[in-house]
Amino acid sequence: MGRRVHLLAMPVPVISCALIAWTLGQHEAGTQVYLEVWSWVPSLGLDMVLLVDGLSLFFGLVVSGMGVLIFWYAGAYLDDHYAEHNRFYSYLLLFMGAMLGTAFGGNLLFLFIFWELTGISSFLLIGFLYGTKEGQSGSRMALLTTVFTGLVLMAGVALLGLQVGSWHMRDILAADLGAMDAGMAAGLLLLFAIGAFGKSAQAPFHFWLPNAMSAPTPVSAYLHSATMVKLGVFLSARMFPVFVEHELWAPVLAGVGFTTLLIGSVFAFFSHKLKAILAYTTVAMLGLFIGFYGIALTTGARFDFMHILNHTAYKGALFMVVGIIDHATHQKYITQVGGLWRRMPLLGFITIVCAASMAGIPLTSGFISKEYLLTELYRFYESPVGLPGWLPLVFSVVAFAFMAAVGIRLVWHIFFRPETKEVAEHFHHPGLMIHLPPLVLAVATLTFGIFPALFGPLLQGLATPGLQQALDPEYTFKLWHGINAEFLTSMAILALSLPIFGAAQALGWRWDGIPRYLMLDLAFEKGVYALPKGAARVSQLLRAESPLDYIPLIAVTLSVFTGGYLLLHLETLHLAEAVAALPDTFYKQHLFVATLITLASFGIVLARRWTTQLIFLSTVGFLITVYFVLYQAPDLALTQILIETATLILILLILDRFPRSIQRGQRTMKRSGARKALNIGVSCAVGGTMFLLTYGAILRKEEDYIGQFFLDNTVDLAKGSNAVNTILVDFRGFDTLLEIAVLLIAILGAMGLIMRYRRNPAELEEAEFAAGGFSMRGHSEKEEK
Amino acid sequence: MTTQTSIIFQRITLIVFFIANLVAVYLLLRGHNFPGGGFIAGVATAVSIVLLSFVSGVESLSRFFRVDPIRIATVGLLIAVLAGCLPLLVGKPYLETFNWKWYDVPVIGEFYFGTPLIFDVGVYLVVVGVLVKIVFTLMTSTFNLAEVMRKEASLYASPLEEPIEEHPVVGSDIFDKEAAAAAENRQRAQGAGESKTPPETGMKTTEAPAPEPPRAEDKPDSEKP
Amino acid sequence: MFLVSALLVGILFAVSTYLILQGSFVRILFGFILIANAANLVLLSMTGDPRGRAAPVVLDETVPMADPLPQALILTAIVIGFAVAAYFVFLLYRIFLDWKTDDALALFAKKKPTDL
Repeated sequence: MGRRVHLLAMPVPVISCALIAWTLGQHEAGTQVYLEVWSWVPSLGLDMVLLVDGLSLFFGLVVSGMGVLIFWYAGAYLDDHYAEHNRFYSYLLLFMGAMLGTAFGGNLLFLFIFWELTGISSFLLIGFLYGTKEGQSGSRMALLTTVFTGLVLMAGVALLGLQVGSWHMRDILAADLGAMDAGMAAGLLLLFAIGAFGKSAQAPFHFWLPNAMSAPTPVSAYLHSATMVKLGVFLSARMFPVFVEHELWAPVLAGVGFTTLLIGSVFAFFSHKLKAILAYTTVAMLGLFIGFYGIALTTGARFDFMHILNHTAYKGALFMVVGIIDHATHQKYITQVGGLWRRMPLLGFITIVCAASMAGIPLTSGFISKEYLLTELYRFYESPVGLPGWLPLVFSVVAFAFMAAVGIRLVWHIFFRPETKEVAEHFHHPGLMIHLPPLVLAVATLTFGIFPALFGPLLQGLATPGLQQALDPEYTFKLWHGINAEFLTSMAILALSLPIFGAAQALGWRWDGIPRYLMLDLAFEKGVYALPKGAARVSQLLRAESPLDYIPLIAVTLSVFTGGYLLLHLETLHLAEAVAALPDTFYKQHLFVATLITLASFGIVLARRWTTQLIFLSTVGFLITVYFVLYQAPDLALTQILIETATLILILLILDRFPRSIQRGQRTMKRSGARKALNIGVSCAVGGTMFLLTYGAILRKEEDYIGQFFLDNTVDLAKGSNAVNTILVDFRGFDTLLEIAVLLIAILGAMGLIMRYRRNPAELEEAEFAAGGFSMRGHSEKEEK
Repeated sequence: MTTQTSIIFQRITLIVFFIANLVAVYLLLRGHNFPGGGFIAGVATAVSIVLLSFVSGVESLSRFFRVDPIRIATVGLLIAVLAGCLPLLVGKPYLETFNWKWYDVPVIGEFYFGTPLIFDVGVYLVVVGVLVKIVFTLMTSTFNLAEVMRKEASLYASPLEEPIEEHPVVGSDIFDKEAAAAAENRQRAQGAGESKTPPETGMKTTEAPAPEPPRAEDKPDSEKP
Repeated sequence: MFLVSALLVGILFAVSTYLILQGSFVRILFGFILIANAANLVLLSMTGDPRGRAAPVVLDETVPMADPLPQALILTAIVIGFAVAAYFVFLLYRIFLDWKTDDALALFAKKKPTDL
């Protein structure tokens, strides 16, 4: 199929987009509909429930709508230089499914499963170019960060579900934090917040998103600007009704969010790598959204979808633009591109519109969004909750100024400065098809910017109970609100951005990006590498790499803990009475066999020659057969005698092949006396422990043991009178099935040991030196010579 | 294995073989009601086959049976799994059992049949296959490992498979001298490429460390036997 | 009765632990086989006093019978133990092919084959 495979994948986002749009048409605004699809694991309360409300429809639309554009874009972007297109689109579709599952999840556990699935598919997509070092480290970083924070979220999900008594979203959203223990409520909020922060790359997890940019650009545009990283925002919105009244909600979300906004925009300004610039602005905007929910009124947020939609449109388009530039010039750094206006005016137009939207210049949707944001910020300034009122406002103004400067820089450097020699050398026109998706987004940005009234019906249709204040049906979005505080601030931001840009321009942008230690990713990498080192240190401490020292360690631990405990409670075993009563309970055959087994086992230790040892070992085995008979176990006796025979044959076969001197035990290294004493001591300790353990276990035998069930039912249920056999093939048949599988696996492993052995020709020449019987040459070969 | 065996041993072994297998089948069939069952019967059959191989040799026995024992074991596992699947056909849970008993069957009188028996036959085959395979492999490989590997590779190896380990036997104080000489020869053979000239032996190179020979995985294909 | 069984288990464990602590791989193999037997005896002694009990074959419901569950467990354990022992035998074979020694002490004191 090659690259044409995207035609096969394309219908999926188109159809889902159409279906979600149709659902939106059917949906009655301000309601929540639960579709109970399937009871998956009823005992855990894990059901497939779909929740259809404004929030899920909005995210569903964003995911599938961007999906259509991205699949189109990827079809043009991933040319024949890339291999394995089918793998790429499979991952992309997996991701889209996971996103939709998260958005529409109506059961918190169900939602969490899909939440983690997005993390995994994101890992696969970031690591799509797994041959590159960036791909490897970036995907690992993304996976570890999102999975670690995902685990934190899982703790929150589990705890909240246990507190509420159900994971159904209807019950979850009705949860009353006030009725819970204060510490529990605060803990839940923090757990959910960390989950959201990790996914949305909020400080201090902001390091993974720029590193995730090693993915192909469609992935960056889709996952890391438009959809997946917005899951943290989504979670904040989803859990908004539950947590908003908690006193920690505003400080945690707004504090972290607006800090990230500031950090992200400053970092974006100081970066030189095109994708890193966009990644940091994305981090900043995500911080803004999360902070926005933090400062929202407890009665509900206002116009939040408008901000998200606006960001999705211009940032997605900018990512696509960067991808096109990469495609056309093979340059990844803004310092290396320039003067592209002459060559790609259409791309220049798209970039100007989107950068203007980012900077908040009138006639773009970014301006509208910024006006409404500033309204919220001023409202919070006047009536702050849990956080100094000036903080969000000041942080935002500074951050917006930096972001506007970034927008100016993007347009100016890429398009309007003299052409660089890298561009001149590498440029080839990427074709018109690839321009279409960003163009659609740019046109949308312009349309909504010029006719903001279009937002009205959209937001009204998507109103979500609990999350948003009901919008007045008469309310219309206007472009011009008169000269008010918001407008003046907006202009001030733009005015502030010009000196920032000018100063950097005067300095010639001569710095090497952001200092590495501020990005935290190096520290993270070091931590990742320190883990195995620490583990190695621990196993070194335990001498795990040297089995000869490790086995005594295990044996001593067993003896000390188990044996020590038993010794402390020795009186419960009534040993003295048992010894006194021994003559009465004397059982002659029993004692006789036990004595013989003991003698034979001592023989194994004392004998030097292997064959002698083996004979003693077999004697023990066959005597145990008699023991089985005494214990009324005919099946065991039969099996033991046959297996003992097979073992004897097997070991004789192998021992016979060793050189005689080894067989006599002459080549074994001598141990020191101390070591010998230690061995004897450890063995005796283990023996004593096992004696006490076994004796204690026998004493505690209950009269109504489990086995009685099998005896009672073997004839009725299993239609067989041999209870041992019915347990094996009927009651516990599955165990037996797996056991014979183990048999097969053991032989396969043994064959592997033999089969994977090769010798080189020189060794074949040296075969005479090899031990008797181990020669690679068959004796037939020898006879020929 | 072409060791000389006495005629008495041969005859007795043959008789024992048939008796053992009769007993094994008897044990297998009555396992549900009396001591016995798939495991025991399987081990009995396997031991009898091994005994037979002492007389007739593994090669001729393998030729006679034609089937690789591991395949018998695989079929056994398959039978056991399928026997477990049977109840699924009638909507019962996995490994549910059915039993039938007829009391007035001509000739044999009481006759019993149940799905556990099918399962037990699977167990029996797995045990037989695995045991026979282990012993046969050990018997033949200690005489001619290369031949065994060739045979197994021809049966099962994937064409893409490459040997993963190929290293000299060095490091034992017992064989240090020989092994060092072997390593030296290998070095020479490597230098001489594909040439078949017999390398000089008796080079006293025990003390001289080899100058960083390539790791096992990196060796060129020319060295493989 | 119980005392004798428990003592036997203790002795077998002591002996097999001593064997496993030895340097020779063959002795370690013997120790493993012995420890498997000893563990079976632990399970077996859980069936309680066998006197006056019949084998767990239900022909007459009135007769008291031995506990079948440990027996079924042991039956499984015997077969698995044999499979693992067989794997160990092949491992021993391979170790000897690679190292020309059966001594664990000598083997761990040596360099790895790939280091040479």
